[in-house]
Amino acid sequence: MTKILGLGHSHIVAVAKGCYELQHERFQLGGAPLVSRFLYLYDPALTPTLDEESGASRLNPRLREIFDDERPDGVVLSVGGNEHIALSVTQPKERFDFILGSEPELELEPGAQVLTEAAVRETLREKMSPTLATIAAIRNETAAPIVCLEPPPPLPNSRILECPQEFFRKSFDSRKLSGEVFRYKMWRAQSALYREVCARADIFFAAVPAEFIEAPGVLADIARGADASHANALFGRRMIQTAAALVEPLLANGRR
Amino acid sequence: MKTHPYSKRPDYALWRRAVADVAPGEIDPMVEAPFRLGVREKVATAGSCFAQHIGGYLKSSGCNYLVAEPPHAFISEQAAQALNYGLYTARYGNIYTSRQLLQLFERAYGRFAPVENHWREGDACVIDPFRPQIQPGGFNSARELDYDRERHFEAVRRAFETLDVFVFTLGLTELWRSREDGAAFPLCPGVAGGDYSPERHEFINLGVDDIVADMTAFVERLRAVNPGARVILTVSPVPLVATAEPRHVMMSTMYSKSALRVACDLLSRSLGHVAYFPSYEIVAGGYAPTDYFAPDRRSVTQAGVAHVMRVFERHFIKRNAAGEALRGALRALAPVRAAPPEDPVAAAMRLMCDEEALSLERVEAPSVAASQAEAEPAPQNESGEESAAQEPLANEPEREADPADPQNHRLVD
Repeated sequence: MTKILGLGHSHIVAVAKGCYELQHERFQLGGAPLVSRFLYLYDPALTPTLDEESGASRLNPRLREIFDDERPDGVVLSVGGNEHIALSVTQPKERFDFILGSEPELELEPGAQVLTEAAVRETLREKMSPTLATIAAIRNETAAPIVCLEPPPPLPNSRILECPQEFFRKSFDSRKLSGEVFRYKMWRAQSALYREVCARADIFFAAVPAEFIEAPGVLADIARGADASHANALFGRRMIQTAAALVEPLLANGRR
Repeated sequence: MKTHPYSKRPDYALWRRAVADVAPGEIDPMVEAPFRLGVREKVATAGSCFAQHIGGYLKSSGCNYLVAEPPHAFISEQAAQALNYGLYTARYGNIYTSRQLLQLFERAYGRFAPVENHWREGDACVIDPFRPQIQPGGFNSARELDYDRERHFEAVRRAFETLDVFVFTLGLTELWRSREDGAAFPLCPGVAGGDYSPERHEFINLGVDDIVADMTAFVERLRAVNPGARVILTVSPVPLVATAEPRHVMMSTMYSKSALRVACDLLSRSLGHVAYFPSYEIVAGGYAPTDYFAPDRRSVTQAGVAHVMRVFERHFIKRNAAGEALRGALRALAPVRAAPPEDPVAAAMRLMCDEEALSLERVEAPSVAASQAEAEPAPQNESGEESAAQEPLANEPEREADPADPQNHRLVD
């Protein structure tokens, strides 16, 4: 059997569901049936995720034990991933937008202050520092191939309006809601930071397949979960398949 | 006893009483400032790197430090610092020369648009030739730079039009400019962006007359948009990091600082609303009993900066009980603003994850037995990991799930 260990926050749920579906179908990885275990990193038994006493560079001792016990052949991560939503679902009083360097043709919101992409990225980086540090710490814990799964793109505003309680404890002013193109750009900016940490730490990055992104940059209807920020098992299944394709050559060559 | 012009000079005019007999750290070359800063008066700063010390002091001492280009509310404090917000009154980076300062004014008011306005570094990086280090990594496109620059110029105009006092630290006389239109660059093209070309760029070393002309023109323009503006000039004691003149860098440093110092003297004598403050004399005059340079002989030590700011405070800060109370309140407020009780993003993350965590409990994982029954025989590798692969992995997600789910470098000369 080929063991994978999945770790993450809320998006890991859809991934786990998709993975289990594949296991039911006797999915093979590295020439052997896939088995998996998924850990939810907000589990009180596993928090704080980073061992703060050792300078925040090592995982929680319980997580380290799990790595030692499981000795996984591969690791999939869906750590964090909602930071872009938290930062972009509504606009501050003075609305802002930015030019996405990789897709500069995307529209800018009329009247919004245009910030630099670097300002957005560096702010995201600060907010994502626990996520990015966790990914780096996981890399330090295992020599197994690791795949970081790109979180799903934003869901459409209509979903947010259907489920505002997911984001707001009180009622909110829908006029403050950000545009979908803007939210898509924030997601892309977030993904750039994942890619950066992956490149530094020898971690594969599994991008969301294009067919799961529909205009103007939201999660495709077929991949949406039940709420306004998460994907479904189909998405998780496809991400596991993408991750498997990335690590398959290594596993086939005996790097376990 | 005969009398002569020196016989009744005050202590400050006599070397022994003003320097030789003064305790270390107490030498004070300033006699009387022509004006003082009230607690409500808005103070703006610009200049070479030493100006950062002055800005830092003004902020921490509770003065009304003018920030005309604050970061957008979205930008985090750490990101704002990385992107050089707050370093000066506006995000212009270091302004080393009088020519740069005058040029900034002209550009901000649309009177000069340099031909060499963008430096492209590959496909996805554009450097601002006039603020080459303002944004680590540069701008992602010329369009992004143009948006940022437009906003920056708005801030510069707002600063010039609303400041009460402008503190400008002159640092250099050497500069590189465009042969085409004379645009002055803060750094030689090729150093922090752009490509140096002898056909397009030339070196000049400003003389005293140039500096006086530049600064006179600047002050005239400043007072045209802000008739009450006053100016404090000072000369950075930080030596040149390199010279383009065919001579020793120490000689070039001495020339530059001398020319700047003479120009300041001429300006402060001829313009009533311009004062001179002796940073250079305190640190680099060579007369202080304490060495105020770090081992690299360029960086000014904390003790040197503290000495400079003590003298500045003594002569330029207006003191009275009401003003001190207000300054004290401003100082006390600063750390409170910097430490919000809870990070809203972290809170939002937790909020969004609550429901999803619950759903993990409802996921049905394949049983180990089912997996094993359905599995093909697993190949065994050399280290015998096949047996380890038989360990249960997918039977514990429920146990692990729980419903109780709760970043320059700074600019330097």
